[in-house]
Amino acid sequence: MVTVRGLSHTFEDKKRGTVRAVDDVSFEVAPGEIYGLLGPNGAGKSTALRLLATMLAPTGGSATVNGFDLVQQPQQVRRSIGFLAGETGLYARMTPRETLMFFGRLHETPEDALARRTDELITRFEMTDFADTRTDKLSTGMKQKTAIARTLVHDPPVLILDEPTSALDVPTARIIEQTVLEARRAGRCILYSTHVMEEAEYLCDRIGVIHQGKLRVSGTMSELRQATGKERLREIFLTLLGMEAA
Amino acid sequence: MRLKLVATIYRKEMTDLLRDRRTLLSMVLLPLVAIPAIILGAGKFMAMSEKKSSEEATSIGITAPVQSPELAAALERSGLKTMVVPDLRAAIESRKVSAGVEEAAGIYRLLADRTRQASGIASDRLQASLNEVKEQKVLATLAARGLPAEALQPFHVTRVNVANERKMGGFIFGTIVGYVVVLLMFSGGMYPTIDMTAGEKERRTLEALLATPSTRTEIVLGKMSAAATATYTTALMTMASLVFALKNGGLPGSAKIMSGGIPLDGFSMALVLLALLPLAVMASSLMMAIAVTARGFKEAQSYLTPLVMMVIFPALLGGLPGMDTNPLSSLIPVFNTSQLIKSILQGDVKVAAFALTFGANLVFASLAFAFSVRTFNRESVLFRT
Repeated sequence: MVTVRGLSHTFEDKKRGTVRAVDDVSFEVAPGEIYGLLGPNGAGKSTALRLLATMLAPTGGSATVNGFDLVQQPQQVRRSIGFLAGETGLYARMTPRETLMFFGRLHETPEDALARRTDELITRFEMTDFADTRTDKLSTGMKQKTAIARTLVHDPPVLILDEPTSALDVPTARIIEQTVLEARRAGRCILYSTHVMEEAEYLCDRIGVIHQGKLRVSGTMSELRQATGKERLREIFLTLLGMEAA
Repeated sequence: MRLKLVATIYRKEMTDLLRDRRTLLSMVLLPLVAIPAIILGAGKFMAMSEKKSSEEATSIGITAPVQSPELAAALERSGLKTMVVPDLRAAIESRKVSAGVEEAAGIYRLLADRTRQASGIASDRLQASLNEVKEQKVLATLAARGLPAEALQPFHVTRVNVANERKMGGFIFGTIVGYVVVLLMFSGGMYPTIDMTAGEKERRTLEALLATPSTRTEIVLGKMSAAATATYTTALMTMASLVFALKNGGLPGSAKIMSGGIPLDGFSMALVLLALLPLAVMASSLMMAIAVTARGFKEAQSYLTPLVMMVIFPALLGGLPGMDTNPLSSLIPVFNTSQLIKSILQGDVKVAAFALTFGANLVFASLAFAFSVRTFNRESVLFRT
């Protein structure tokens, strides 16, 4: 469902010169699978996910999302994905219902189907009490529910989630985790970047560790344990970063 | 290009900005309340000040009692009271008297403080009285020598203003409209434009929009159309409130009489509004292209404020008397619109001049839009944090 082959992204920076934010990265994610992307700050996780969401253009390699090529068919790619970043905000002066309808329309969902889907998501995420309240009046948890519902409003086969639980308290982060597990059961293909090792270990079927733009290792937990000789993901992660003895 | 997506983005932006108090303030409240308040307030203040000065201009100082009975009679007719003061200059400065006159060897020296309106009025009245006496003396001399009074005036000169009331009204109104409307268009469109570009970046809502199937061109067109609507609405509101203020006593004295000829016919108004349309698109596109390069709201404000300031100069120049429309000036953005509006309101606009200015502004608007799309496509701009 997501196939990445030698994907690269370089850019020029006045201070740092040529920066290879993503360097020859390759991996695959199947339907009904959660692929975790781990890495320290500035490792290239967000850039890789933005490339797959076609917000940035690759400078090398190729990738397909839901069978569509990133460069040749960017609109079809975007139609296939639901994108959520932890830092993503919501339109403060719009209600959750208006937000869902707006994003549904941008995905060209037929109006009657969109209204049904919006009602369905409002019920599913227990948003009925605040569905018609302006977003700037909502609590963090309510906003997060709205953000997840927005990601799912067009029923995308692929979810790209960039640190979706960052800065969330445990109960609110739990809403995200449950949604991700439910999406896997529904056969969606999920790309999940996170800092939280416990979360990655619990949610992800396979994990890729990215550092300085390069994918250092990719596999299941048992494959990662075998490759590093470490038991816990935190130790595996630090070993791959060269911060702990192998 | 999918117009349905453009319309969706446009509707969302309009809903968003109509719910924003700050936008409404700059788009509606400022033109509808502040402009009439300023014009009507200034008009009232000037009229009050004129009346007060006229009432105050009642006394003149003299260094010695008036000897000439003719002058005494003329001063009495003018309503000015005379007061003998030893130091004229000091008396005027201390406002004991409004103006003063001293006579030496047949030369009358009028003293007045020209920074004070009352002193000026008293001095003018005094001069009129002296002229009256002078004329009486000249006529008496002519009569004594058996000459007719007409000997002093072999012919008469009168001035005739060929500009009709409409043209004079347009001349005054056109000078104000070109400047105020164009300036407020830019300042009124500034806040919504920042809100939907740098504001989105700051609030981290832009990424979600970029991840939808809409293209960057569709996003820019939707946003720009909403920004242009805000800009254009500001122009409409400003026009309406200017007309209201000027028609309701916003101008003092002679300007008030001339403003009776302000052309308010549908055709003139339609032409003015049509002339402003490409400028609204150009202003919005340009402001969007600049604002989106900023990291946040405050940074965008600091980028756009100089642009608004820069607009003042050509907008003001275009409305000034003597700035006649010519093919070259029709190609200078903002200046050309200000000039065109003046011509429309004076009733002497030529079809070719209108077409040239309108066409040039359409080209500028298209270029500004293309620039805006190009800026939106730059990764370094969109993801600059």
